[in-house]
Amino acid sequence: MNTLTAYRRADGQVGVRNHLFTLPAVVCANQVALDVARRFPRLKYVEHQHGCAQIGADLLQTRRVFSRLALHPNVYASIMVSLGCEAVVAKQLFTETQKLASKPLELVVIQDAGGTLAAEKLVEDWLEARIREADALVREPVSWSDITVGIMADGPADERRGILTAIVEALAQQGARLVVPSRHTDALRAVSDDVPQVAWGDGADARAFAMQEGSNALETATGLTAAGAHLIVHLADQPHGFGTPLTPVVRWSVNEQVYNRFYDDFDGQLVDELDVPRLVEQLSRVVSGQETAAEQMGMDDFALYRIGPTV
Amino acid sequence: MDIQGYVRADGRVGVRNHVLILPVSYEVNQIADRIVRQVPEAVTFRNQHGIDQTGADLEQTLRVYEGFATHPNVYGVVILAWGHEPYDLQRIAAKAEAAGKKVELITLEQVGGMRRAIERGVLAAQRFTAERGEAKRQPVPLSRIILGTECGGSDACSGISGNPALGVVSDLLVAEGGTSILSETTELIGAEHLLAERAVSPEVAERILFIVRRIEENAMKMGVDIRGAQPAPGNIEGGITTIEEKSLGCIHKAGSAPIQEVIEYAERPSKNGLVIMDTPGHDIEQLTGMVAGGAQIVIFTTGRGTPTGCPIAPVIKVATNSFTYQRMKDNIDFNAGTVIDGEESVDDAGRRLFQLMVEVLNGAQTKAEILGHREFGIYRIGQSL
Repeated sequence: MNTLTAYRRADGQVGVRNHLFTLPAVVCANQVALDVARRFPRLKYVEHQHGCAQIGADLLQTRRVFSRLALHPNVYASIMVSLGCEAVVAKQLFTETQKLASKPLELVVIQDAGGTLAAEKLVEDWLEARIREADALVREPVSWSDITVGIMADGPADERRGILTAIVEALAQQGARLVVPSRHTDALRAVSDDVPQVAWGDGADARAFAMQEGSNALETATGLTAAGAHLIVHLADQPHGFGTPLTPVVRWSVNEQVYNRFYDDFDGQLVDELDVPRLVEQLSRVVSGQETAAEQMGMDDFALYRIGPTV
Repeated sequence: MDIQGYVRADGRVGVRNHVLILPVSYEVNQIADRIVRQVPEAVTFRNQHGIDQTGADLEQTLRVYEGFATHPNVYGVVILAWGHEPYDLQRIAAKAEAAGKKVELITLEQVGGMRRAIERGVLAAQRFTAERGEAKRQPVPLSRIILGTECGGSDACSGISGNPALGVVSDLLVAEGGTSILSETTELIGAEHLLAERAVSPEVAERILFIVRRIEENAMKMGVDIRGAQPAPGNIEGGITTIEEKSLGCIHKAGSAPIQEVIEYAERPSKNGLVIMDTPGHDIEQLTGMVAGGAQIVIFTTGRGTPTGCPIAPVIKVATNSFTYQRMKDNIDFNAGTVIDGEESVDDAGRRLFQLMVEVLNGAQTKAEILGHREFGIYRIGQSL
């Protein structure tokens, strides 16, 4: 049970998945990502309505999160698709992102390519070459200290504090790095005196840190992914239909009636602290490749936390 | 002038006969996605909203949902919900039913999970697509049409070719008694005084000045002087120098008719003729707002080239220059670059575009429809956006 395996990348990153990722830099590029992903289910993508008519801090936050998602450790290679006239200025975003990593990165510009179909062809050619490279990689033993776990929970933070603290302590004991939405900062204090707070979707140079949450659960899950979580534990008191494309969401019910009705949308049920070792054991299997319910159902979703109006 | 349209039970006229899978929150996006994979004749979109919204922001989002669920281009609607959304799902279903739609409301909570929701949704979508043939096109006057006008990825040609040609279409439609929507308030900045002069009343004129001031103030709150932040980088590359220049080109697409009223985002016009809808300059949020407000068709001029469409309304793409038309032919329906090339007058291009609009209203497919473009975005005005 204690043998974790994952992908070690050339630049030192450790990934628990080996994804190929298409990121539309702007809403106008969604269809390219969507169409290619239909033909190549191996391709992970996000669909969103942003990247245009954004300004100020809101635009900077979007750029930061796009860049961090493209460089996510669970990703073998990323391709950005831009229209060519958007405010995110994909060419600039792309070159800046490229400076930060040795991961294979590419940019396709729809207006330069000559339209939706021509851009799709470029993405597909790139993808076929990258699939061969990615498939040549094999899992190797890693330790919990290589892994960052994001933890989020439905319901009032104080009602979840006890169980969250138990999970945090168990994972910290294994050596895992932890990130939680800011409302659960207290749970991290059990394992760390100093808990840095970062903006939504930003990372920190710490073993345990808290991130400003989004305006809804999907934005928070997206933010934890961008913050660097390899996988996300979601303690839920309701059934949910969302996950994230790049990180496995491990969803455990904290409500017995809900679990009994919707058990096949969950990965497990957490009644009290005694169930925590069972959760940690499942997490080690998920790290090593076991699919979660959200992955099986393809619940790949994305929501950007906006901090300014569209203009 | 008559076109061939679908007359719905509420009297509104549709130019398409869609079965719409409408996810009201992000919790059900994947269910919607699985349904249309099994029933590809149905249409859907990705939605990242609908949960943890309040106040005016929630009301605006609900206006979009209701606008889509009751839209005359829609024959039947499968309303997909999580079941814990902070609003009355039955009300949306009841409004769609009152508009004469075939309606199925499915919540994750009520059916017992994702798998059952997908099964139920597929059955409903299959039933609606099998039944929709009962609706037949019949002659209806052009005055029943609401046209959404839009320009995106503007360049130095937009204000000379594409937008004035679209202005001709708008004037012709208004002369027939139809309705044309001018929007993207951001791109009225610097031209608001000219539009205010065309208002039918001092109240409407004041409203035009007000919405422009409001969007500028919103940008100021973000610490950005929008008169400095616009035009967008792509516009500058395309030869536009200032926001005023962009705006003066932008308003050409509204032709020369008097402005009857100013409506809020996703609101239905209460008057025929030329109206202004207050939307952001963001192409997709703007398009979504106009369609939710009842536009059955959109004409979208583009200098730099844009591929985008809408799940439930045809979007005619007009290139403002021949280079972009040639380069993005898979995406663009009409070349107004002929005006720049000296091959035809603005008036001739406008009449040719009007003819294309009539063909599309009668059922001809646009490039965006053929390629399955389904962009969607709601303009958020809440504290948390």
